[in-house]
Amino acid sequence: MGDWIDSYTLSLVITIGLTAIQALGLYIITGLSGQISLGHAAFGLCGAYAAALLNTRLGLPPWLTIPSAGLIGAAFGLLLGFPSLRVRDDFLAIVTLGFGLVIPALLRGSAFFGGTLGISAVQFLTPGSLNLALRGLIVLGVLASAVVLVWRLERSWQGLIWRAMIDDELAASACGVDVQRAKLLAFSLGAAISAVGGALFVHHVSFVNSDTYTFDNSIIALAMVVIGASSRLKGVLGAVVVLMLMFEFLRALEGYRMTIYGLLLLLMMQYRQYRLRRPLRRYPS
Amino acid sequence: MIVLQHGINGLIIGGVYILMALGLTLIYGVLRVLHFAHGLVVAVGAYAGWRALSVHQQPFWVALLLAMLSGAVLGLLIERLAYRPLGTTSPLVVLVAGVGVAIMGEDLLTHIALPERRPIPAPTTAVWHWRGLTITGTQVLVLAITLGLLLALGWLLRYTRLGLAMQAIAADREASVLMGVHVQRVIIWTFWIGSALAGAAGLLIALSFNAFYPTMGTFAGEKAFAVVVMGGLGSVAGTVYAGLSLGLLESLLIGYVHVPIERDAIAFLALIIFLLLRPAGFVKRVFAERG
Repeated sequence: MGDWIDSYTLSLVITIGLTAIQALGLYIITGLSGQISLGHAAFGLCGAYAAALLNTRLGLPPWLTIPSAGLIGAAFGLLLGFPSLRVRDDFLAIVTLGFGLVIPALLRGSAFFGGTLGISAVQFLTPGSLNLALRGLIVLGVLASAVVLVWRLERSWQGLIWRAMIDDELAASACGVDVQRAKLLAFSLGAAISAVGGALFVHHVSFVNSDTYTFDNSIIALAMVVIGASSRLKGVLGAVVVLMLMFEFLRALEGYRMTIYGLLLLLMMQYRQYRLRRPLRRYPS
Repeated sequence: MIVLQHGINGLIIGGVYILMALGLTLIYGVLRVLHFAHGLVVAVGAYAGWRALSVHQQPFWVALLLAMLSGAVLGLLIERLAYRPLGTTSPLVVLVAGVGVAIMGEDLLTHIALPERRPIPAPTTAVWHWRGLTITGTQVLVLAITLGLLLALGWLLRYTRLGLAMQAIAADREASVLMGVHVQRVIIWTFWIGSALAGAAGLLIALSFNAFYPTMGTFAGEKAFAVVVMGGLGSVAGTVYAGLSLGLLESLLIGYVHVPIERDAIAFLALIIFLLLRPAGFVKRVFAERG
């Protein structure tokens, strides 16, 4: 294996695939159901820690830890979903931001989760640390199922309910939409997908700590959803690939990588403004 | 006595948080966006102040003026170059643009200022002891400047045309336009004032914790958001209550209870619990009503 594709490219594909899974989770929450989340990375972190603990403490194999991580992620999604029933828009943005900061802080502060060192020596997804081709296939397989799930959701009754909710929450609930259920569903589904992504990640690098997913990851995922939102699912996936490749090529600029990256984020927002199809109202009516 | 000591420390820090958060509140009021580059303005203010004090050995008031001026100029640049071209679009777009500015600025600042954590020369070494309480000259200075700036802002909001226009736009933008308020001009002034306050807050934070480092803006900006939202997003009075409560809470918790998370995360834990109990914040959605 690996005459036609070297391990650098494979790692890149895996990284992009894992990021895409994260972005898809956020796309369900922000893109489909219109709820802002600035703490999305915390779900990836929950999934990664769950898988790492289940694997190192209980000895569960990856094929069990990854789905369990998804369930645990869904539970955390539900947990963050509850504030979304109480607060909206900008308030929700800051509450989710807080969630995204408190979770890593709690993980760092607790000896059970390995403190700042995190958890290492997690079993690899495929036997041996170098069998990247099979691992890439598994990641792409999970990504493909997530894409199909989101694609089906978008065209389902649930997708329609979410769209009605975005257009006018009050009108939707007057028509019999259970707004609370719809919001909680979006948060738990989105969180579950991202947690699975996090679990895959931890079985890919065999290590996790509280810096694995940070606020920057949340914002990058959000940028991908915002940039891609105009052409829906396709756009989000495109944005993931473009942004990740860009980030990779910026390695050449070494010291000024983050400067350029910030500038690019800013410029892309300037360019994308006219195409965002569903504006969240800037001035609440 | 120790309670009192922690209380005093908490109140002084709370005052600085208020200073930092008020700029954000004012900007949210007129622009209705979460201004994520506000933390960067705080860090740049701290950098300017630190440079003036330690590298150029300037007197304290020069450092303070420089901090405010550099903060204000940066705030204006951000408004002009990053936010205004976006027009009235989705707030998410503005938010990501703001984060882009923050990432870029912080990286540049790290290159300019070097990444270490450095002490900042105290402008005064006076210390008072009284029945077991200790108050340093720096604390008094920080408190005096905070109070002065807050009173000046209160006067501005209540008695000047600009302040009234800011409140009017926050209350109802369309109606203010119809009443002849020049919205763009007010937005520029708001950024100018809010960012100058942030610059001053940067220097005061650096003094209070005796440290300047280029990434201090991240935690500062996040904490400011926690304060603003706890205060009810857009309410000046609420911001003041929330800032004081947070300062007190932090100092007392750190001093007394062993909390398993670092100081900077307490703000958000408090915020989440608080919002679940009282979703509207300390003060309901009103923007500094007269009276």
